[in-house]
Amino acid sequence: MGAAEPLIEVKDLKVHFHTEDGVARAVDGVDFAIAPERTLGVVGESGCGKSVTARAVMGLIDAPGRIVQGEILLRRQSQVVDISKLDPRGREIRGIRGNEIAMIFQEPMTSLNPVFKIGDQIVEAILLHDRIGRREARERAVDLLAAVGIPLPRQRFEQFPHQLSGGMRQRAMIAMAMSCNPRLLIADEPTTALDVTIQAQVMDLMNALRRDFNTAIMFITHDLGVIAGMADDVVVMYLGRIVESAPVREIFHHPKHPYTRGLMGSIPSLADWGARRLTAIEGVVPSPFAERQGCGFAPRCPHAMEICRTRDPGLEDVAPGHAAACFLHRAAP
Amino acid sequence: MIRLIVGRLLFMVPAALLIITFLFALFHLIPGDPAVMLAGDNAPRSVVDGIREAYGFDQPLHIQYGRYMAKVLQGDLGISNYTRDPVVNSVIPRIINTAQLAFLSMLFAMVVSLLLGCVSAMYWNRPLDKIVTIVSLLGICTPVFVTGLLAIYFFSIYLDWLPISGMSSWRHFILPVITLGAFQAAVLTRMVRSCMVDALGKDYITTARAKGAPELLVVFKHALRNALLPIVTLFGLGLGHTLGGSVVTETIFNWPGLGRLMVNSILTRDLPITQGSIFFFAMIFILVNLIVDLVYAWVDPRIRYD
Ligand SMILES: Nc1ncnc2c1ncn2[C@@H]1O[C@H](COP(=O)(O)OP(=O)(O)O)[C@@H](O)[C@H]1O
Ligand code: SF4
Ligand SMILES: [Mg+2]
Repeated sequence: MGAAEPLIEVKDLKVHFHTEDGVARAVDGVDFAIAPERTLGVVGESGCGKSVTARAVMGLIDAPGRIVQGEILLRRQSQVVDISKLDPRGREIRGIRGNEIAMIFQEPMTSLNPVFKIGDQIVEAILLHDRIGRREARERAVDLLAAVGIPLPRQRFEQFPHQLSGGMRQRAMIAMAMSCNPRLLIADEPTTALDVTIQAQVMDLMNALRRDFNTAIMFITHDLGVIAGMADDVVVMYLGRIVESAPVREIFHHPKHPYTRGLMGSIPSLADWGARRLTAIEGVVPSPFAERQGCGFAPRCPHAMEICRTRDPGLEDVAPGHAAACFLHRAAP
Repeated sequence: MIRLIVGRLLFMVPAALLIITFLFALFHLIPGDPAVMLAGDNAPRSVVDGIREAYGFDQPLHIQYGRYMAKVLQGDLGISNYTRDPVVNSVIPRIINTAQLAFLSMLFAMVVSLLLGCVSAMYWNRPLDKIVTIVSLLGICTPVFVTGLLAIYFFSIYLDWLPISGMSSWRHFILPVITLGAFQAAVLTRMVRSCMVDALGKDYITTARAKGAPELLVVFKHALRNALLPIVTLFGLGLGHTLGGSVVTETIFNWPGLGRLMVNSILTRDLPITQGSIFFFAMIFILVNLIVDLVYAWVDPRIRYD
C-alpha cells in the first residue's frame, strides 16, 4: 500500500465471541496496514466483522469477545505498541484511545451522552489527554465545533444532544474525535444513519478533515459507492476475512472477487437512490458460527467450482498491490 | 420547567379533595351509628342523641359532606375521642417522628443501594456481583419484623450495645433505621444494578471509553448520571414504601410515630385520629410524588430545557 512505514499494521487478527450458541468467528484472520495520512476504506455487508475489527484496533473488545490471535501494531517514532496485547481497561490503551486513535460511530443519535452538554463532552475528551486549563480547553472545543461546520458554535457548546439534529450531532462527534489531533481516525459507517443530503455534507466534511488535519482514516462502510471519493486503498471483507484488497482505482476498474463485483452491482445509480439496499448478491451472509469449509463465499457465488467447496482460496496477489481470495484468479488451481 | 412545577402543584388540589372525600366515605361506610361510635358502646341514649345533633349526623349526607370538607380545608380534623384534643395536635408531632425515621432509613438505603448496585453492575456476572445478588435477595425475602426482632436480639439483648425502644437519643435511631432501611436497600440494590447494567450497554458508554476515559469515570459519571433518571423514580417509590412500612417498625421499636398512632387508633376505635392519620399519610405521599417529579425533571435535561 503506501510507501511510508505503516502507522498501523494488523496481522492475522482473529476476534472470537464465546456465546451460548457457540463461538462466533467475527474476525477470522485479517491483515491490513494504513500508512500515515492515507485513507483505507473497509467495505462489506452488515455482519462481516467491520465494527469488531475497528473496536479491536481501539482496544475495545470486551467479554464475551476476545482477541484470540494476531497483532495490532501501532507505530510511534521510536517504538511499536501491540494494541492487541494491552489490558483493555489499562492506562496504556487509555492513553492511545481518543488521543492517537479516535473513533466515530454509526449512530449519532445515541453516541453522545444525553445528559451532558455537547461542549462539555468535547472538553472532557481534551482534558483526558492534554494538560491544559479548562478555559483553554473550552476555547479549543468552540474552535473545533466551528471547524466541523456547526453554526453558532458558542451557543451549541451549551446545548444538549437532543437539541441538535442527527447531522449536527455527527459533526459534534467528529469534533470530539478530532479534539486531540489523532493520527488515526476510525469512522464506522458515519453516514449510514443519516439522510442522503446530510450524508453528502458529512462526507464533504470528512474529506476536508483528511486534507486539513493530515490524519490517517479507516473508513468503514457497507456501501462501495461512498468509498470511491474518499479512500486511497480498499479492503473488502466477507465473513470475518478480507477477500480483496487494492488501491481504490484498481478496485473500481478491475474488481476481481465475485463478491466485490456483486457489491459493485448493488451501488445504486442516481435513478434509484430511493430504493437503496437493492442487493445484487443472492442469499444472505451465513452465520459466523458455522465451521468454515473451502471458500466462505461459495454458497452464494455464481462461479463456484468443485475446488471452492473443499479448499480455502487464501488471499494472494493477482496484480502488484492487488490481492484477491478466489480460485478464478489463480494460474492453475 | 416552570409550567411543569405549576401543573404538578395544581394537581395536588383535586388529589387532596379526593382524599377528603374518601375519608368522609370511610366514616359513613363503616357499619354502625357514628354517634354511638363517638359516644362509646355503653353511653346512655341522651348522650348519643346529643352527639348526633352536635356533630350534625342527623343532617342529610350531602350537607354533612360539605361541612366536613369545609372543616378539613380549614385545618380542622376533629377531636380525639379519648384525649379530647384536636386531632391535628396529636398527629403533627407524630408525623415529625415518622418522617425522621423514614428519611434516615431511606438515606441509608440510597447510599447502600447506589454503592452496591454500581459495584454489582461494574462486575456484572462475576463473583462480586453474585455475592451482592445473593445478599440482596436474602434482604428482600426477609420480612421487616424478622429483621427487626433479629436485630433486637443480636444488638440489644446479646451484645447489649443499643437500646430497644423509644427515641430519646441518636443511639435509639440506629436499630429502627437499619431495620427499616435494610429491606429498601436490598430492593433498591437490585434495581440500581439493573438500571446501571442497562446504562452501561448504551452507545454513549462506548463513546466515553473511546475517548480514553478511565472505567471509574465511565461508570460513576457517564452511566450513573443517566441511570439516575429511572433511579430517582425508584427512590421516590422506595420512600413511599418506607413511610408505609414504618408502621411495623414503629410497632416493634415502640417508636412514637404516625404509623403506631394510626394502628392504636384503629384498635381503640378512635375514628377521628384514624382519619387524621390517613389524611396526613396521603398528603405526605402526594408531596413525595411531587418532589420526585421535580427532581426527575431537574435531572433530565430533555425536560429541564424544553
Ligand atoms: N457483542 C457480541 N456478542 C456476540 N457476537 C458478536 C458481538 N459483536 C459482534 N458479534 C459477532 O460479530 C459479527 C460481526 O459483527 P460486526 O463487526 O458488528 O459486523 P459489521 O461488519 O456489520 O460491523 C456479527 O455477525 C456477530 O455475530
Ligand atoms: S473461490 Fe470459488 S466460490 Fe470463492 S469466490 Fe472464487 S469462484 Fe467463488
Ligand atoms: Mg458495524
